[in-house]
Amino acid sequence: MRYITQLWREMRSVPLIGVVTIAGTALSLFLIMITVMLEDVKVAPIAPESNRARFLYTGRQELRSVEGGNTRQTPYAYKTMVELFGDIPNMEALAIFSQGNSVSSVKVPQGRAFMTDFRHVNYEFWKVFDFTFVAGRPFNPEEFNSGAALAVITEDLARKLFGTTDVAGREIIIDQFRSYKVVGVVKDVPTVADSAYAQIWIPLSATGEVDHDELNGSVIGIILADREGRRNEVRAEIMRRREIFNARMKELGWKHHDLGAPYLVTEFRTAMWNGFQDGMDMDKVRSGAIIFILLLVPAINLSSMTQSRLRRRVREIGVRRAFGCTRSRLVREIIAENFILTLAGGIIGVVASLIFTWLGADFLWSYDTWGSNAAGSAFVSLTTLLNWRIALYTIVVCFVLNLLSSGIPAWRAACMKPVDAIGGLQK
Amino acid sequence: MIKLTGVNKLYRTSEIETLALENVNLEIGKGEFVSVMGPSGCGKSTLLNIIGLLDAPTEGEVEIDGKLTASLSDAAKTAMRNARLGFVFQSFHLIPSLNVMDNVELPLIYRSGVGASERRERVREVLDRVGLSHRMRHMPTQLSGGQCQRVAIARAIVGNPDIILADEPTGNLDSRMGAEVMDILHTLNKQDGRTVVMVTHNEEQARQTDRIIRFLDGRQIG
Repeated sequence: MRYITQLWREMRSVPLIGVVTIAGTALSLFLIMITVMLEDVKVAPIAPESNRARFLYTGRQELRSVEGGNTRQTPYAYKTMVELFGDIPNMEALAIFSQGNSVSSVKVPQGRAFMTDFRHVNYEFWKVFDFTFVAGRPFNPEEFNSGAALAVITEDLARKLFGTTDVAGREIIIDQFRSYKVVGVVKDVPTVADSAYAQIWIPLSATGEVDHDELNGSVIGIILADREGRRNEVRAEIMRRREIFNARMKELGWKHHDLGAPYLVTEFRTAMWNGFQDGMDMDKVRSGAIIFILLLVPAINLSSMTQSRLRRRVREIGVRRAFGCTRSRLVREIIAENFILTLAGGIIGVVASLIFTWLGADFLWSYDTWGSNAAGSAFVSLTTLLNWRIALYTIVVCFVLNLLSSGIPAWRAACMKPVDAIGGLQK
Repeated sequence: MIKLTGVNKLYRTSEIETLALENVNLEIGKGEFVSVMGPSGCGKSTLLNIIGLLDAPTEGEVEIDGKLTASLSDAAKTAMRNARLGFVFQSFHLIPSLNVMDNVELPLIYRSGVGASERRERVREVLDRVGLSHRMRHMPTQLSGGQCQRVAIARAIVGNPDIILADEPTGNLDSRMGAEVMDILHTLNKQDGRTVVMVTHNEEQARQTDRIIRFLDGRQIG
């Protein structure tokens, strides 16, 4: 409380330095938090991808010709996916779904057509992702295996098409002529839950994908492990299966490579932009370096503001030393004072970034839906953004920023001889 | 109580060297009130800073109660300043962003084992002694020069030090306020038995003290 009172009085005596310090911190935290939230939302548990911590992403496959010289990365074929990733010990379910969304028109008979995002999925898709059904149910294994023309749609689309969400059993027409029966209606899915996102989900078996015998395919998958930290066991089993698979492929002149799959959610995000490859840990280093630079630049600016504030208070520092303040205590006091300022700026920055991110969600996350019509909305809620991770990041970032910006000025102040400080001599 | 032996203080810059103190040998006994006099730049304040462990001599020894201070660590010197020494400066050096109470409380904050209520109690007592207990919540800018110096004296004595070092304590005050401050310093010396070392230009005030030490060009001349 003593620090706060003194700080407040100092800020009032030289408002410009106080305002610039707080505004500078707020702006820095704003930028850092936007960066962190953009990344965090991609890996944080967001319904219906609440189990991201247990997700193991299959990514894409690489096919190499046995003679060499011909290499291509493609999505998996459904059959390869089942052979390599299906029924692995320690897994609960395997979601297989089309990579990205297709854009199609949908309407009710004699109704108006809407452009929507739709996705082909298997029946375990509904186990991996925790959709909330407001009406009906997902399609079951029997329906899937029969290749029935069924669909699950979002409540927003249900309202657009039928004016209500209680539409299980009703008919919709996709692409003008294909008729599907709605079996379930789910709560809208934010586009940031990009693996689960669509507005219509129909069984993969309703397309030719399930019976497709080529190596190239159009699906990717997510394994839901029974708990976190299962990657190594799952990978060992995949490697074992791949050897068997490749022995057969050799006859066809191809060798399959899984590029280090399965991936954790963080690795998968990186791979989406940089391509799937082994040894993606380097990208964590790169991300860390970016955050560090984002911290360092404002820290240097704030450091000069701190230096400026301390220069004004050099006599006070001398007086405190004269009356018994040790060097280490002086450093602690300066860092504590600065931390209050950083935290004040940090809170302003975080609140501003939350509001900005919330209001600009559609713009900020629009790129996350591959091939999407983006007819859906990112609608990231404030409660999703404001989670314990963000609170922790804020405190950690403030603390690091504070140490970077006030540590050196504080130490320089503490190292002054008391007599020089009292005399107002500045180093 | 305070003993200086062969103390030299040399200030060096890239261009010049200045010998601020030259072979100073002096002793100040417990309970003495000593004035240090001399023209500006003769080394009076340097002497006070060295006695107060705010600065170190280039050569020579400083003892306080038989303890050589040169061998003390910075933390030990700081602890000694906190426990044994009280400073009164010509320009008061009150912290402008703290009110009277917080300024006076300062030495006690840096002393372990003194709780908040005890600190407040002791601050009240010393402010009472200097006649400013009614100004506890005032900021330094709301006080006159004489009041500021009384607050500074309260800060110097709140930790109950046995040595008070006053560097021209009346230099910035008019004669009436200066007399008030001198009265307080004499009371602290006579009633409490505190040792007072005071730098002054005022011959009349110096004559009221037990002893006058005179300096000229860094040398003790009397």
